[in-house]
Amino acid sequence: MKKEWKIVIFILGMVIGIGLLLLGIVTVDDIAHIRLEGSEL
Amino acid sequence: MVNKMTIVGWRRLSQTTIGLMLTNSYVQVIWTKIPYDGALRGACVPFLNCHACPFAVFSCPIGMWQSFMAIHRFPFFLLGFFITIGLVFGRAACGWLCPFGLLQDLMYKIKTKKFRIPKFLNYTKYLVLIALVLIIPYLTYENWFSKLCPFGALIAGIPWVAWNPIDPDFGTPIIESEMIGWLYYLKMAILAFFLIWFIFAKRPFCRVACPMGAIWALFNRVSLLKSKVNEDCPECGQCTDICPMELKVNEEVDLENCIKCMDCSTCKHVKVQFRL
Repeated sequence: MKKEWKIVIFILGMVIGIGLLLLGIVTVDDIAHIRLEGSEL
Repeated sequence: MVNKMTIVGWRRLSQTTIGLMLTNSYVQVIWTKIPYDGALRGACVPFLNCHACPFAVFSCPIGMWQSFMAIHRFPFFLLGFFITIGLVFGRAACGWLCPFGLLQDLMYKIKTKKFRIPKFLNYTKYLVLIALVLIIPYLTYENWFSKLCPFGALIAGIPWVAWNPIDPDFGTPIIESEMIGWLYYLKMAILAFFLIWFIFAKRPFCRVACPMGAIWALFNRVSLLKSKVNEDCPECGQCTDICPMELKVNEEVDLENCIKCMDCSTCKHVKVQFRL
């Protein structure tokens, strides 16, 4: 794989990844669900 | 010459202290009889670690993903977690943190005849990810990977059944006898199968069945953390001998099965880098 493509994939991936993280934390509150599910035996 | 003592020593320290002890450090459960339910439960670790373990502090990302699938909820946070961690570290957590990986490394040290794992079995972990973590939980509304996970059986199933304390809220045993059915025994059989396999082959669970490894493997080629084999490598094969994933290092470094453990970097012909 060419280095230019790796840089594009990396930057695009980080933008999408951080966006999804923020979306999950701030708007849909995935953390609360994980905490709830993780506490169940 | 290969001198692997330093890197392996650091890796064992990291696997033991962070991967095993820190993530399973809720010792209060011994007298409270109730698992941890604090804020850290909302955070996942980047490796398999059953959140049903009595001592568990954090949640398992695979357990959580199948749970999101089972309730038909899109896992925004988890996907973001996988993408960002994967793009920076690739499969490094498998080599440096995963306690199940540590167990496999240690059990392989038992002196006996060893066997190679056929290459085609490297792809079954993707099947496990797609079937047991995504599709089947989505269709059945149940957490099927957790029901069958051998590591969950080892650090949660066995301890809870062996200990089985009285629930302080209800005054009854936490594990009722009718809860231990065929599924429990199937899970134990899967665990026993893998434990025996660990003695004869290098990291079989990581290479064949781990859905967490399958996710990180997707990012290995583009992740920041990389290894590079110099062109003047004489291909003596010593790095392959010490590789815990049985890779031909000069051909397969940084490909899907490389766990970026850096054991091979103790050879002067292999360099570890942070670059795109």
